[in-house]
Amino acid sequence: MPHCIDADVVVIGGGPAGMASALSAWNHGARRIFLLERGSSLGGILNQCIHPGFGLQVFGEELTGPEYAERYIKQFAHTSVELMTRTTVLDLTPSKKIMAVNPHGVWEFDSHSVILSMGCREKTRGMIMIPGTRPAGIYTAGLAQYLVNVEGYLPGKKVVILGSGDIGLIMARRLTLEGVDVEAVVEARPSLSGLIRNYVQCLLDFEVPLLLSHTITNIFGKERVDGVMISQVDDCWKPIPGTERVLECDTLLLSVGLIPENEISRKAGIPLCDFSRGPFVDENFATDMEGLYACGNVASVFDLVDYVTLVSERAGRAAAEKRARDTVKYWMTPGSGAGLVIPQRIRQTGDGMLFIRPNQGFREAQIHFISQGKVFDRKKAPVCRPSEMIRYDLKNIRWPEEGGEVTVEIAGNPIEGM
Amino acid sequence: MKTNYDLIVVGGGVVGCAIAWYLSHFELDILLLEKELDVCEGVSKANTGIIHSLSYLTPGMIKGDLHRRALLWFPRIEKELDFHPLVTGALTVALTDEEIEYLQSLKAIGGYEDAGILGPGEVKALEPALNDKVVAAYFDPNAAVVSPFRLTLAFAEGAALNGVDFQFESKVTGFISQRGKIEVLTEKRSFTSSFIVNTAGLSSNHLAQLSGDRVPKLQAYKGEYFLLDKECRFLTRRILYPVPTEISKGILIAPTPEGNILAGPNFELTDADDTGTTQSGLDEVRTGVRKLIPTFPFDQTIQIFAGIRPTLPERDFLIFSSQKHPGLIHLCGIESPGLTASPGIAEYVVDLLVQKGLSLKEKNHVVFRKAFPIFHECDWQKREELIAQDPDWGQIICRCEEVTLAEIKHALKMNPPAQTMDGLKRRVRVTAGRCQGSFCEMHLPSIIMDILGCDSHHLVKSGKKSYLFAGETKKVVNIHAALH
Amino acid sequence: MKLPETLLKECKTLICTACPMGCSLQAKKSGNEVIVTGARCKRGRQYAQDEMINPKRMVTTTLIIRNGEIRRLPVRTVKPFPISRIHELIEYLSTVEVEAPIQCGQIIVANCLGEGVDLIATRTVPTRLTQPVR
Repeated sequence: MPHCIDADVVVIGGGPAGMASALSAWNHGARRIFLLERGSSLGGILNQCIHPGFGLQVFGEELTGPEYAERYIKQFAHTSVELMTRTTVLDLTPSKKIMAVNPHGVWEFDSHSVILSMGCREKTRGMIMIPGTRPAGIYTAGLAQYLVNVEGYLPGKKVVILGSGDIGLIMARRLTLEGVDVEAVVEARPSLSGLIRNYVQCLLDFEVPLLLSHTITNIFGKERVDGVMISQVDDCWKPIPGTERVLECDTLLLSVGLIPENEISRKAGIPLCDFSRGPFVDENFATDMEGLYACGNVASVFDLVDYVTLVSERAGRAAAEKRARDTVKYWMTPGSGAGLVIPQRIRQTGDGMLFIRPNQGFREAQIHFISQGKVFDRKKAPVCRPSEMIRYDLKNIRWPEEGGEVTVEIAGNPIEGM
Repeated sequence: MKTNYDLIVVGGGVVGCAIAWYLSHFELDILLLEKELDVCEGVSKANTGIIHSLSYLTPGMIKGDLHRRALLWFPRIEKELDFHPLVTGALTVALTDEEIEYLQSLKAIGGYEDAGILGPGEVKALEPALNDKVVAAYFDPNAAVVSPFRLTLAFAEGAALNGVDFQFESKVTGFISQRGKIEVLTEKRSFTSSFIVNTAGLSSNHLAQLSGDRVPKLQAYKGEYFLLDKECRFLTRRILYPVPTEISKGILIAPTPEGNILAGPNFELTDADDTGTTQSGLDEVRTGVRKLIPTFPFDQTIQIFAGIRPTLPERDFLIFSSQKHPGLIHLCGIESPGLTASPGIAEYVVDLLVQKGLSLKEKNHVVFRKAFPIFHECDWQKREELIAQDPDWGQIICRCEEVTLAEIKHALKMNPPAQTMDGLKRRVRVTAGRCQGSFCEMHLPSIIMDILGCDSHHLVKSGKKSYLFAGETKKVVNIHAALH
Repeated sequence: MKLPETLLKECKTLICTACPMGCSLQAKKSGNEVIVTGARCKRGRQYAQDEMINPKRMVTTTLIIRNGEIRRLPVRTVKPFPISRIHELIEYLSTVEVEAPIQCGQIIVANCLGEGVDLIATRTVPTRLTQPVR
């Protein structure tokens, strides 16, 4: 017989989202709380993010990932949240029954609320279909980061990085500091994907070339990578014939995108949104299904862990309070210039936040909120970039009386280059 | 260290392992030599994994005959090796009226009562994703799919259980006749035997030439594939064949036993060691696939790969005994249906060996292989039992494929053991899922190092130069010295 | 890891990282002064000053840790460290090995290279149990 547990709240995933939501649930009165983490310790992705950039909003300090995690891990000692590590959830039914395993056996949870905080996974070489051989030496950047930072293994001696998102930039610096030769960061877009700060402190500081409007069209090497073919691309990301050249290297790091990990959500039949690639959520990060919440990167890739904490705390509180839900008043979609809006459902605008991700960089940006063809609110920002979500408090938006579909658009002067 | 054997098999692909397994039923000292670090590293590694039914036999050719013989072996394989193909059935799709004639020939060749030609309505009812332009399809419920790795490993395990020795990193460099025996020279050491089977896949022509025999020129034909996420498992339940061209069975779509969808291969001339996918090859496969399923979801691709077929101009198997060394048998041109025909080839080769003087005495007792449990396929009760026996069954290492620590440890310790990351992948599916190892490879290195007792610079992906790591942080490890 | 020559130049184009605007600044050293053009705010001017006179960066890395639950201890400088000596610091740190248990925040190396900057652990690492954890 499996171990059968009745719970108030079960949280799936012990990274920043899971920890914040579990603690928040406790702080708002829930008592039988179980936090299920597949790794051997809490912290999730924070454990491998040894660089600073975390906590500026929540703590007013700039911490490294592990330090940020520690701030939350320590708080559990003052609760009786049951922390179950090495515990992997294998099934979640529409009726919220959870089946999990760990070295002590099979566990079946029946919980009033379930909070999904499984984070995301990385896009791979196979998914982006780069032709060539399949030698050793091809790593996704996050995997390489774990191997370098937690285990201490160097993925190679001479590295090319595909993708100028923050993970790729951070790894360029990290590897350089460990004596690895970083040949170039290759980016298909005409502009930087990550933060300017990371461009300066990870590439410029170490003279790592950034090749914008370039992509990798072939991988060479029989047993181990021995080079990649790069090519300039046009506006549609198509390689321009005649611009190919080979970069010699023994390692290719891929920093080409993150995908929210929603396999469990699918098993439960939770409706998923195609632009966020996670469940549809409301301002409490409750999904469309009663009693099921999704917070952190599993709902949508966030860039600041501080935002993950804030939204997860809301989910934890809502899960604990078991309040009846108001009907949805506003249905949010991204329009021109916006790649993503979250939450996609808004029930009440008294508190809570809205996050918008631009799909390109704009200077002198204007953010328009549109309902029934009319702009009901306008906001401005001197600059906005795809690498940084824009955040508004819901109460600071002048919502119309009448509910309905709301489109968020962004316009401005497109940023070229940096 | 033993060097003299009754028989030596050169080549650890599906055919070599099938031969070794078959021969292990007899009182013989058998050695299997493999140049790589594991079985199933060559042609057997990259193909469609289809057990073609009788309908797809090529009559009048040796390969057709051995295909027929092989199909009779599968009940025995199921019993003795606990290996079970997944019977999916197949639809051969005609998109024009002219193609219907081919479908009729399949019906005639197969001779299955339960197979028949269906009209477009019936076909679309079976497989709604199929092209609306389908005019008819031949439905053969007898076709099956297998994991080519798992079949090869089942043969290898069965052979090992029954006393066959395996030597890896043993590339054969020559043959010397020695007083009625043959000395087989390898990179490491030499062995002697009266009987040798050269089933070295892409290298078998070269080995035949080394032994002084004449062989037709090897032509290596590449075939490229797309593998889709398990999310797409219901795209098609059956193997979908087009009407073949003169050169190949065509670009097909098939479910895999694990729940993925495989599409491919094309057919293009290349060099024997050119295993890279190409933009043009992948585009060719895309075009072929869209003829069968126009809405094929390529955006759900999790991996692309290529396999090479060793072909001869006559497009048939060439199995013959050496003119220079009595007792040496060469197998060349083992392309499709090599996987399906493998036990039939084994039988044929052994018959040839007997003609050459090999004496067979059946063993009184043959050990049957019992497949190690696959956690992902167990029900909840079985999972509980396993974890109660060994907590390592409760620790999931590969999230995508739900592979546990217990299975990984077993794969590293079994016979023949996994010594590489790809060897682990073939045995237990780690790194074969949608994340392609970006999660489980975080933890596999330390697990492997623990069990194998090696250092991080010894870890390889498949070949001995395919090192995973170039050193460790804060330590100076001279990688070139470590790789000697 | 070599020290980029560009860091030593007298006259540089900088991208300001004080805020997301990412203004492009021209900075020129003139004796002990820095003349800045292109800055839109005083943070930008300060940024250019710092970059030209004594550029510093937070340094984060890992150290070998013995007998810990994990193999590497993440560490950081408590405040920014002079860029010109970062490679020297990293080289020095490859000779430093620590022993578990370590507390997050614990000083591992005080006053690194005499620059008045401590190096602290950023993760708590307990001692490994006698059985291998995995």
